[in-house]
Amino acid sequence: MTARALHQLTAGQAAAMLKGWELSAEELTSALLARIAAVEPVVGAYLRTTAELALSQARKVDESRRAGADLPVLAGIPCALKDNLSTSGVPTTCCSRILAGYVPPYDATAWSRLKSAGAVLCGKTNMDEFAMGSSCENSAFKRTRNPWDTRLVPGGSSGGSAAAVAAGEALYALGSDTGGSVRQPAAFCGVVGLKPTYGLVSRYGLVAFGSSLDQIGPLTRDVTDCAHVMDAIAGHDSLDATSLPGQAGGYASGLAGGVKGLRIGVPREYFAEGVQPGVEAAVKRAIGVLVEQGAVAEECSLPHTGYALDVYYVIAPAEASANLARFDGVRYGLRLAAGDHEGMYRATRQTGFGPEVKRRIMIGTYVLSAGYYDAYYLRAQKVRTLVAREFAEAFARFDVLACPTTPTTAFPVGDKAGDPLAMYLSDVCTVPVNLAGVPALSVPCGLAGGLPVGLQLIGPALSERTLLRAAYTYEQASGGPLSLPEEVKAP
Amino acid sequence: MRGLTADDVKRIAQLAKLDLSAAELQQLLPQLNDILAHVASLAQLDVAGVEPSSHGIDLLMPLRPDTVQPGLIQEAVLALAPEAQGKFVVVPKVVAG
Repeated sequence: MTARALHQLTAGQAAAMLKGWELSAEELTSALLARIAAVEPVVGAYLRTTAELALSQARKVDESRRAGADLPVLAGIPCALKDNLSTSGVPTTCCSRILAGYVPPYDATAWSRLKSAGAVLCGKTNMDEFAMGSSCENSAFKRTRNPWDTRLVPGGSSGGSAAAVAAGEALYALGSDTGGSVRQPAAFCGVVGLKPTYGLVSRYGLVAFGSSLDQIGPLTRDVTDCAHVMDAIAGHDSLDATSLPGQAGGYASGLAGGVKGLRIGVPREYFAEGVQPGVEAAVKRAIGVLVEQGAVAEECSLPHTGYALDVYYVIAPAEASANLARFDGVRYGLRLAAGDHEGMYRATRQTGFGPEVKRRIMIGTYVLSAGYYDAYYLRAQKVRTLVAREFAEAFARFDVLACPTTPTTAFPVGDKAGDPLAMYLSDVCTVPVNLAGVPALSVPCGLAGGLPVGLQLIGPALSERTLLRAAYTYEQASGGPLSLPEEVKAP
Repeated sequence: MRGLTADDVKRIAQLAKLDLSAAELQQLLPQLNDILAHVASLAQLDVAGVEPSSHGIDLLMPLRPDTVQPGLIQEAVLALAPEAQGKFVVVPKVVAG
């Protein structure tokens, strides 16, 4: 196989070749680094590449294999991490000037688990500053382009991770999802993205945005790879107080088995006004494929869907304003000199944070302030209860819910950058899931107008195996994973 | 609920410890009011008797055993500080006098 084609492999395919000695981890990594060098000037998926680290990790895997070790599936597979995942010795900035040059002294648990599974890190990916955004345009450092059409955004906030996987610059990546930040860019870039059940993947070392909503999740070429990554990163971690107890795993081994008798609910609110006809058609075709495979689909209603975005835009900024209070210039990151400590906080934060982050800190500060807490924050927490209850009721009747991941395909760079509210509305199909804490997966379901569309499958807490099995069944029945664009043209 | 005024926005910026410029304050006023007008739909719902939830799913949050564990290394953490001296982070004067 030529170096040109190695970057097109799935992690699972590459793992089989590594195991069979058809390929060394070093060769694979070199091929990926060459691909990065070729397309990165146009795509801009990475904030920082770690070529030397990648090659040394790959050589180590090759040595262990030569010594006869039985290695995990992901050993020697090149990957990318969103820049809000702490990586010991590698700068982690959340694409914010306030963390420019910050080098964490510890690893996020998800990364330390991948590392012990033999992962090869190609670099840290671009994102909206502190994960606040849906297009990567809020990064303080660079723009990322959608590999399908570089005039378009890759989505966000994990847009760099999604673009890296779609452009063949990593075989898989991790992102984080607070209101859709894994699933929306996955849909826009034609890759698989999973937001796990709240608490299934440790948040230790993930720079906090909305602590009650944040989850780390994989972005992959196909459903099998998504299951492999989940097998490596899921499970209890004593370093995260919200980590769920009990055993995780069995994701890759449970993919086959089909969907015979699977009860699919199709919530009509997710096909409301604003959903592009091409998106709706692709999603309905995909549901039809699952029905042909033996699933039973029925329309249903989640009447509180319209309120979910409003709940989110109270709770997420409130939690963000509290979480981002730690960026004060005292212990790490940027510090601007001032005569007194108060002046230092103000000057540091004013210079270090970008416009969207300031906007959300302002909203969050307001809704938590004396006199407004009950009207906004407490009320939003009560409506969250209603949203979660509504999902629970739906899951008494259905095994999964199927709907679009996003109302539209990827939008042009600059299209919504000046209108915060329009940008927020692009998360309308993904936000309710985070409020309810349940898992959801986006799997590519064809194209609309030449651009990828995501089918979102939502399940009850800890139903990842069911979601992956349903997505795998769809992927197999529809002719395999979506072929990714080979040529990436400058806009 | 009434909209925010320019003075409200200044007061919020003070609480948030942001030294916003006049241009930023001017730009934020309509944006924040747009967002608050949108989330005002929450006031339409009857939430009488509904418990607020801090998370979407019930968390047990069990206590871990209270045993000594290795933590972060002091030197590594202090090395991150913009200014440090001995075992301390140096900051501008906090108490007047």
